[in-house]
Amino acid sequence: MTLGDPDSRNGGRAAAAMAVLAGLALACTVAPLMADGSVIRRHDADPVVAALLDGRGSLSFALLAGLLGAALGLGWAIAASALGQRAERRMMDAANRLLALPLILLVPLAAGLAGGGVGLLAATVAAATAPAVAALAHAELRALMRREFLTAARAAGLSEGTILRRHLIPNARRPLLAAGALALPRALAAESFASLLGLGLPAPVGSWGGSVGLAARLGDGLALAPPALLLAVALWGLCAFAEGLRR
Amino acid sequence: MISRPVPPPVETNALTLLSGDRVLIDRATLAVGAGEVLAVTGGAGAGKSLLLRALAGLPLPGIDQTGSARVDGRRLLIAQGGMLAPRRPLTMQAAEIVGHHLGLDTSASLRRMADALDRLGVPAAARRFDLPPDRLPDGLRWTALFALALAVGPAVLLADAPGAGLDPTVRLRLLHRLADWARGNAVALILAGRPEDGVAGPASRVLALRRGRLLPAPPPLPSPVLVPRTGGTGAPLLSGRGVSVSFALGRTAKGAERRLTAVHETDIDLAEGETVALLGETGSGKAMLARALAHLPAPSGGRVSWMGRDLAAADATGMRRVRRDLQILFPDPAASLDPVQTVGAQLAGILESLRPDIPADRRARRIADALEEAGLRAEIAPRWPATLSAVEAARVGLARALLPEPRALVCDEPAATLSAGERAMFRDDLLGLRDRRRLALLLATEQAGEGLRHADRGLVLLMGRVVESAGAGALLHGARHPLTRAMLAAARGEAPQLDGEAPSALAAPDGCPLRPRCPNARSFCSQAVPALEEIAPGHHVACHYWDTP
Amino acid sequence: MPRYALRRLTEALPATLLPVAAGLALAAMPGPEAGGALGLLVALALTLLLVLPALAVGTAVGALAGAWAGLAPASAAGRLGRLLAAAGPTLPGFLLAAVAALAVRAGASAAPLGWTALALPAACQAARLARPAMEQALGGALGGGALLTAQGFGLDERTVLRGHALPAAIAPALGGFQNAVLAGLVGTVALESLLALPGAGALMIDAARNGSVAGVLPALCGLCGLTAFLTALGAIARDWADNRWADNRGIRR
Repeated sequence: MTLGDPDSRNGGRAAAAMAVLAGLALACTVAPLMADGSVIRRHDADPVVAALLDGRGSLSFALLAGLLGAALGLGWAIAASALGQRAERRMMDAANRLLALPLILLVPLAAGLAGGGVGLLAATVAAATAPAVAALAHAELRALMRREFLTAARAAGLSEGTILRRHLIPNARRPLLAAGALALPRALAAESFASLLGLGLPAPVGSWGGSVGLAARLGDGLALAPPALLLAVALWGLCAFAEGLRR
Repeated sequence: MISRPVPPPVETNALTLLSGDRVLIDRATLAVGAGEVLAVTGGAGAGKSLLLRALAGLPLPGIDQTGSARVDGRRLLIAQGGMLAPRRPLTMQAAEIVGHHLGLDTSASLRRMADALDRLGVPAAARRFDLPPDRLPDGLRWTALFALALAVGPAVLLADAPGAGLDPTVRLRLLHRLADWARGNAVALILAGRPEDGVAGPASRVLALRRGRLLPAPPPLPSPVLVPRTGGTGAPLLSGRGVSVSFALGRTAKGAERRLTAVHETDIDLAEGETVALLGETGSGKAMLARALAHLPAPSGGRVSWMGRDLAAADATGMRRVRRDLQILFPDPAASLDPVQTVGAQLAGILESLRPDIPADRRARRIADALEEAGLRAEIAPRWPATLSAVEAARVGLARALLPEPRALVCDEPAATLSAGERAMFRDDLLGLRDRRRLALLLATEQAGEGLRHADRGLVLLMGRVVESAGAGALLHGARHPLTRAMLAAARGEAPQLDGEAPSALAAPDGCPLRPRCPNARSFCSQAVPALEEIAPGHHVACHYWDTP
Repeated sequence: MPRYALRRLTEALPATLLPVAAGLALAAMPGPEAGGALGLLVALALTLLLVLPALAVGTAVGALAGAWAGLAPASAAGRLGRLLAAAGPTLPGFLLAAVAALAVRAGASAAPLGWTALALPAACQAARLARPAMEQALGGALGGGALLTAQGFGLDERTVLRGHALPAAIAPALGGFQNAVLAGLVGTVALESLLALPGAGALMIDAARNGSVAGVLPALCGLCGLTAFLTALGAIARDWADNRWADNRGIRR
């Protein structure tokens, strides 16, 4: 107690992260209006507005690919838990092996080799983030399955279906959500990395990573700072949000 | 005391510890002479650790101290929990500590440590101290800590909750050895612990800390006279025949299945209104057996029947009818409640499942009654499990078990999370309920004395096998098996005649599993697992040499 | 070489050598733009040279600063540790690589900047892990724990800190080394590509830009092998930290 309550501290950080993310998303949405009331062409915009415009691409792609990765990872973990011991061991072994590989490198490679459509990029990013989600979600599910209140529910004669509906799902919701949220910052980082190398989101869709990469190549510090800062803030917000969900 | 020519090595006069203006320890005055063993008992938060830390010269930051405390000579504190640096090999830590105090080099330090281990009765074969402490069994870790203290050879040794978490048999044996060493080497030894930890057993004097005051402990209550109970007649309600519990461990290289057997074929009966105590050390399989009898989960082998009906053959409806009559109390009541449902909602769900005969509009009444019976008020129903105290959670667990109006309760170390006083109250309420409702109880516990005093019969388990079973009185006063005797001796605070810890089920010794620890062991003990034989009417023992005194 | 290091290396051998060998074999195959096996080997060596010192120094500095942040939050080292721990995920290696590339174009020298850009994320990660571990080791002293046991056995504060608290803080930082390796490798690839250094990462990205599978695969295999090797080095460092003064003379007589 003297060391401060970690729960409330984490909860506060999660709330702050939500606020920051909401503000960022709002700013990116209204950025075109901020310039001169109409949609502007990106090249003559001042760097801050351009970065905000890029944010629309980066954030919506991170949301899309992150949700896809979360769904893939959660499906992986749930399937592993449901399919019996041997399948569980194999599937989670595979996830752990994949975790040890630099999967993020596959994102620019896939974009470069296959010609970079948004759909393909999202699929690659989702596949690269899924093992981490699967490993965490599986650990949470395993811990949940061992909890004593499930034995108590069996002692009350509840059927397995009722236990699943009344006890397992309500208790699994939050940890699974937290595991899934892990995919969001990873998806944003993966996309930014690929775009930075020029092998990410296709040119008409702006992205923070792409602008940072371009500015670095051109040696334009003024153009580099705003997207880099916004990217850092967004990454912090997404990470803090995912951690806050984990309690 | 003060008129002695040599002043005692530990002496305090009106030692007061304050946190701000709150008095934590109020004018504690004590003196411990060389070779004296003092026990300080008190419940959780009574201030034992504070007192010991003050004596060790390691006061908590933010604690003010008035009055005098004098400790002469080298003093050591074995801190609560007995944690060593978890990942560093123990030899290294021992060499560092012994070397620091005595100025010895590594090999001389380790030689001293080995001598100390000899004195504590650890056979050389069991010394696996090149491992880091987090891979040592608990008993060995505590033994190593005590040996470390012996090797340093202090003038004053302070031990805070020594051996907490060990089986009473192992803990009491160690504490007695430590006390003998202190007496033989003129060391002032202070053992602090909760009253139920048995630290008073080896001590020559006991002080109790209560509400900040350090006073002589009241003499222990005379054990209640055994009232012969009349339960246990008629046909058994619950009976297990050849019940065994085992787990698959994967396959060997040759493809044969490896299994770990936690409970070997065991027969057990529980008659209407009868109380049976299931006694054993940690890992003896008593909890597994208790749960297997309630089909939580079903046993791997054998047959459990309720009023003559085989549970394995029962369908869902039949099983629900059995569960209505046979309920269970869990060792950690708080963990057995679903954290995302209120207490009332959980109880209602159980009532709906087990007592469909009670109409929905009368469920609230029944829940309130059950809560009241368990010593709670009905206002607890809308609360969330996380807001309950340990006592409340235990009583909610009891209310849940009483809800369907069962005829038998399986209690797996009930209320193990409560302190001694709370547990005694809980136990009295449970026994009162048993007598009022003629409940049959199956009580799995490691507290042999306490368990037997309230039971009709007792079964003692050792590594998944029953080694002695008899009426409670016969066990309390005429136990024959060395393990039963050791458990009862530990419950009385005496030194149990057993060495070391229970072996792991993965490395069970040949023959009698108690052989490596038993004082009566002979060569024949390693050849065959002793069978249960009847030595008196209703008294069974599984020991080759039960008639050896 | 100590036994545990040999064991770790042998364990990591298949995961390291097989991908590298596969990469070399693929590179040696005659193809449209194969730089040859030797070229890949040199490129991998350059990547290793970039990433290994940065990871080692970053993890060491971060772990120490994080431990200090747990011990004395108000001191200079403590402030640094807190800063690093808080920065954590906001500073991915590729972003710092871009900043470094910008500075290099503005005339700064490449090597120290590149190493710093790669070391910072590793330091942040290590500080993030070390700080709570140190706080726990010290906080444990209030209610028990290994630290109080050591104090109770009469060790002085210096020994307790150096021998017990510090290892407790550093162990998790080394335990998280695998993540640092993965992040460091991503940063290295970005750095090589932006600064046009002839490393395996730049080789791979250039091939990807040209859409050449035959150019991408050898470098990718090589980088996977490099990851396994670096992870094994982290495990060795962790074992070393645990065994620092271990000796094999038991108390068995």
